[in-house]
Amino acid sequence: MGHHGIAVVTKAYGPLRIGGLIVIAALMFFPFYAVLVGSITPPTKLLSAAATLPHEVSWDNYKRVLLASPYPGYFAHSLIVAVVTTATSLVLSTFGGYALARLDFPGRDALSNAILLVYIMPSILLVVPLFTIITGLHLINTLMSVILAYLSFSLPFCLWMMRGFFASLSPSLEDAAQVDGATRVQAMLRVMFPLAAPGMVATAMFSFILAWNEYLFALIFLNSDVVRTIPIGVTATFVSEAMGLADWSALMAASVLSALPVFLLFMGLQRFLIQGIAAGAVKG
Amino acid sequence: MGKAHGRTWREPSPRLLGFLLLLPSLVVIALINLYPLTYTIVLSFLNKDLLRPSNVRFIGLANYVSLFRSADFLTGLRHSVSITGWSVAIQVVAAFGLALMLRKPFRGRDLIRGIFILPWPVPSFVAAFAWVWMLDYNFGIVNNLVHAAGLARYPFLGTPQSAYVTVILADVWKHLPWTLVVMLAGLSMVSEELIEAIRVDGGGFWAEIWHAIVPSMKPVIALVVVLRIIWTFNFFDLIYLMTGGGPGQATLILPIAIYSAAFRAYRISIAATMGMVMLIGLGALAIVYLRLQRWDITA
Repeated sequence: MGHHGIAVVTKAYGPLRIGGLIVIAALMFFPFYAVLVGSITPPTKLLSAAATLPHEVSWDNYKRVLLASPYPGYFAHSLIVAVVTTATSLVLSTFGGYALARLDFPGRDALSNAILLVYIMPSILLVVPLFTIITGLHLINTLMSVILAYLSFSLPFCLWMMRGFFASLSPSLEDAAQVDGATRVQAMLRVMFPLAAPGMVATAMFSFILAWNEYLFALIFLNSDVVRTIPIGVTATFVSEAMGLADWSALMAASVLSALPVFLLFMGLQRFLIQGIAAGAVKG
Repeated sequence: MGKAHGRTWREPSPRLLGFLLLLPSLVVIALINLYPLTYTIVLSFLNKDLLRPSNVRFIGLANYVSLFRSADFLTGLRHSVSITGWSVAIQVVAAFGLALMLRKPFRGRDLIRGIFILPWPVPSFVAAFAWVWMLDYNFGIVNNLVHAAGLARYPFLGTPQSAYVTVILADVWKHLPWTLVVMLAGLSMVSEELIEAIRVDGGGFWAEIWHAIVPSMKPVIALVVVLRIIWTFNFFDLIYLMTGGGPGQATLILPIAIYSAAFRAYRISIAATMGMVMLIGLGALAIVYLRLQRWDITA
């Protein structure tokens, strides 16, 4: 009845809807296009109207960034910081998340809520006191300074994620193991932790992306090329004050190189997106 | 329970085990989050100024009072509220519309959705440079196209008004993916029977949206709005790198004002006080979020 009428209308709107989606998708993609074209255009051609379309493909910008700039060092620092932050958070949060999801103890729910509140508190709020503390500990210009600072968002994030993953596992598996004579701790280590492995992988990847992309703490704690991570290193090397005189061609190549690792991780993460969001923790 | 073999130690109670497993995390959170937070509160009652390090003393609420005469703070607050408002409103409406358009399967839907989600993992500094580069007055692709079309080049980041709009659009671009994914998740929970019932009653497209989809998605939309307000308000690097808060003070948001107070003017206590005001406002929203969190969107 009315159903058919709607179907006809839907059909008529179909091409319009898909056309609209394609236009919007093209607009969303445009900044990527601009960066990719910029990164393969030789510097001499870049600052001319010719750069709208890629006339000639040149890898010189990439070569310059990788071979003749401090970029490889920045990459190594970012890798160390992101891996150490993530590994520390993941280990602590696997135990902590299990406790929050699986063990009954007084104050558990209040504690879960408090951890969520800690997680959504702004970094800008912690930057001022952490700066004074890090300075007092003589940790300015060390990778340890940003690793400590990143734990301030990475650990609460991982705790909340792992809590969600453990809560989504069926308790009967654990109970069965205990009926078979395992202690609670054995059931946790041998049954629950392996079952939560996909959750650990997803949590680690998100945590890695957060640490890899972080800018504010790094800006304040790292002032030397010996320790700079990618976001501030690239900015310090290829951009002068206030975006005035930027080495655009190198900057675009460095941007592609910097985004690539997190893009690849993110692709592997697609199927965890909804789950992570349901856990309430995944930050966009 | 005493039947277990090979057990060489007494099984701790859930209470003790929970405490032991959480202890390392709680120690770290206490040191890295709670201690600095407490320190911020203390700083906001002192007159700590790194340029005058010897004269630190307790000055009560004087910093809080002085904020209401501080042009930077008031401008930052006003811009943060309005930029957050616009950005979140546009994101929520756009994501809701796009989610509706993506609801029914069609060939290439995964690809289109993939492109929409693409900005998510992009580091903020890359997003900022991509936008600044794309919109550059003399050499940017957008102005090249504008020029090729015979129009005058437009200073997207050059005037206070255009920069204000541009940073909002860049923020929408960066965060639309998250909003869209949550909306799609919410939309997939809307019962088809409910939509069907409205159709059978002769309701059209808009009736479907207003009487079936919107009511079912209210919890998700509320969650999205609250979380996005909190995160957009705190978001520092994209706007800082695109404009530094300028031109003039056109895009000076509160996090940039805090950053400048602390690390340009070295007025640590003033920066801490601005942070406290932000914390109180966002803390109220965070409590709303905790209440919303009880509506499990996957249920």
